[in-house]
Amino acid sequence: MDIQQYISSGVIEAYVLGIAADEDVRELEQLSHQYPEIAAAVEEYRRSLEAYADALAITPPAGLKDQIWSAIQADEQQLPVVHPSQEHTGSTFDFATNEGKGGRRVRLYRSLAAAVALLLGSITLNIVLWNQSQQTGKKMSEMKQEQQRMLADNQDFRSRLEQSAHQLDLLLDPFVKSIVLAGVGAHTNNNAMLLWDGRSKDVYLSLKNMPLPPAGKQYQLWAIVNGKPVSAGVYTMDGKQAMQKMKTIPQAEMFAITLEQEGGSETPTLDEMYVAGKVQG
Amino acid sequence: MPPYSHHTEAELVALLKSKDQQAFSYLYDNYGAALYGVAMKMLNKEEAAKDLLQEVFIKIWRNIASYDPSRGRLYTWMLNIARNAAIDVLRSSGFNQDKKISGIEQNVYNDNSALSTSQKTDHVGLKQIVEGLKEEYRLIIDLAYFKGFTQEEIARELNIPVGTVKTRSRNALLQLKSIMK
Repeated sequence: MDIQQYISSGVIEAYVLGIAADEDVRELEQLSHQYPEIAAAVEEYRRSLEAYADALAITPPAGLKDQIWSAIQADEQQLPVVHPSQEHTGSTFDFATNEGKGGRRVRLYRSLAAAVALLLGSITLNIVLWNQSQQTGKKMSEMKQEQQRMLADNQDFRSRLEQSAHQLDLLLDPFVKSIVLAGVGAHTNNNAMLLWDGRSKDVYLSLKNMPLPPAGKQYQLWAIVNGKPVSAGVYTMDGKQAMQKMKTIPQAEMFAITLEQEGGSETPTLDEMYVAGKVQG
Repeated sequence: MPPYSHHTEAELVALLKSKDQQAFSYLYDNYGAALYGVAMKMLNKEEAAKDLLQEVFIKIWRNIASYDPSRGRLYTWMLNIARNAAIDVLRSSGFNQDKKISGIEQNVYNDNSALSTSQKTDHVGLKQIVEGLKEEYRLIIDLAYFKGFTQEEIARELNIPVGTVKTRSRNALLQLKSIMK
């Protein structure tokens, strides 16, 4: 450690002026225990600053000494301390000089004043406490709302989790056929995913890659059975576009989706066919 | 000469620990003016300075038992109590902070040297300090030591880079030291 370099680095000056960074303060205090030169440099600056402070000395106002001594004694007895700036030399002393003549009246005034002060204090305290209880109540209801929101969130998460688990089960089930419905005509960019359970004949549909239908329209799934379209239900675009269960279809050669009016149609509008896919094997 | 020479610091500390009125009287007569001067310099308001002086003496009285001479001189300890208390006041939201730094020059010509509690034998007056100290150095000392500003706050206040604050505070103290010699 190069002591001279450290001493001339400016850290000591910053330390004595009280503007050194915390880590510099710690380091310096440690080093000054180890190196007397550093301790001496600190002390020398300190004395210069203290001499400056000394030079600012001003005689305090007369009477302050007694006030402070009273305050010290009050503080030692844990009584409230009066600040010199609050000390007022007014009415009470005027009353005091009138003792004798109107002494009783003065005492009456004083007890009245004390009673009023007590009353005011009590009112203030009540207001403060009432405010506090209001605030606590408000906080409680906020917390309740927060809790309800979290419960709702929780339920939502749980249902999504259940749905995902169900979808995963379907995908992993060897009896479930997955059929991709590919885009038709102008809709080659779209496709849909269909799952068909070979035992229960349940049909599930996912429309992740389909455009949102215009207002008043809905996608309708058709099963082609012996060359004839049979409705397998309409798909509800609810924003999540998750797997939705459609009607049970015992048998089909092909599936197709058309855009129909809301609620579905009796027969498919063929020029509104978006996607279609054959059932393999 | 102040009556300080009557007691060494060690004797004074012992006296203070006895906590009688005589000890207070001695302490007040010897350090009151210095601590009040610092309070006035920092707060720049008589009412606030009076309150502060009282708070400082109460703190000294309460904590004298825990004062440890091996960690620094009594005067340093008391001065730090006063500075910290004043900085607390300056930082409190209620205190109407007068942005300008107290006009030291006003005090220069009130010759208070007779009241000073200086512990130095060769006493240096305020006038000599003000005249010997470059204005920009005095500003740095005042902001850091008497206003409790941080380096960043000083840099902002004076509109100079933090690096300049560092060099200036070093030069300021070097110059102050040479004046005091």
